[in-house]
Amino acid sequence: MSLKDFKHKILPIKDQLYRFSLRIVGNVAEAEDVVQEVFIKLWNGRGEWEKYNNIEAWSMRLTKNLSIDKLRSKHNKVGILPEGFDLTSTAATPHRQTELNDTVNKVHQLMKSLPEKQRLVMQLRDIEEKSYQEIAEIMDIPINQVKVNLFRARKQIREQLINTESYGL
Amino acid sequence: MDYKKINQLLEKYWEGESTVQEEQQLKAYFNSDQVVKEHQEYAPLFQYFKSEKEQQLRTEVLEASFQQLEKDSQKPVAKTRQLYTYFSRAAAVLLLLAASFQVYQYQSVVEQKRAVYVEIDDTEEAYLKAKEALLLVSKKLNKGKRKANNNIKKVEKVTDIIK
Repeated sequence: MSLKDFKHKILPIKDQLYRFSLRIVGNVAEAEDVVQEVFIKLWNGRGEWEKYNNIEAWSMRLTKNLSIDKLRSKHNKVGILPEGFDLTSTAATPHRQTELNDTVNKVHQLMKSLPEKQRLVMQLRDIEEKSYQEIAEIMDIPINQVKVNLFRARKQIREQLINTESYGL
Repeated sequence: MDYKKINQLLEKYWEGESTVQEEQQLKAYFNSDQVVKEHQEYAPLFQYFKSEKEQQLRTEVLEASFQQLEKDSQKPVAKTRQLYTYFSRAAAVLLLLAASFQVYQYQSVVEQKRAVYVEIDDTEEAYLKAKEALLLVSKKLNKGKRKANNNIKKVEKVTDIIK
């Protein structure tokens, strides 16, 4: 595979890799680092995923693992971070922040309060529009686990939305 | 899209039974300006989904990665380097094996030589042993002498013929 072919395969999935990482590590600079690392690993290990011809699931899983590693090493270093540093901020850019209206921002906060697995499964389904099979491969869990996590996540979000609406939280 | 249909789709959605296509219909509806009042509370959720999908990797980042890959792939391929290290490891192991085999052999030879060296305290026994040893030596010498005699006779015959 030439580098040109490789670029061709990467282009359609680059944004979803970036978004996926962003949702785990929580800030743009680190998500960008992760994606670059993923590209290098994909290119160096192209023999492996070429065999199965499924660069998408492969690279998503790689992105997940590298992002989680990144997050862990960051939490280990948490002591040296300046005070008031928001570790879980998923705000992409200030520009984007202002674009989103308040209610959408509230949903953002609700999603953040979900357990990680539920949140990632729901995001893969509802934002990235992945099939259950694909989510199972990316998350490395059985399909019925995907369904259970998705169901619980949506249920939780629904209850919170109704609460927000009726009590004006 | 009609109200009833949306309710049905929503119901399926909450139960986790909707398809990706049906979920796309919901997103389209909730991001349109036709959302009815009864559905308003769910609109932010589907608007969030849409806005999240709009985030993109910065082009500069993508370009930088591709440039890096380009630079890396112009260097000699990592595989040959790996092969070299494998070979040198194998060579080192072989060398070590050969060296230890040599040392082992040398030591066993030394031990064999040592095995001949025996000390005897009793004089009578020492005398017998010595005699035995000397006999062995003289036997070997005689054997050699006989062979030498035979050969000398042969040489003499040949010289006679030449004469």
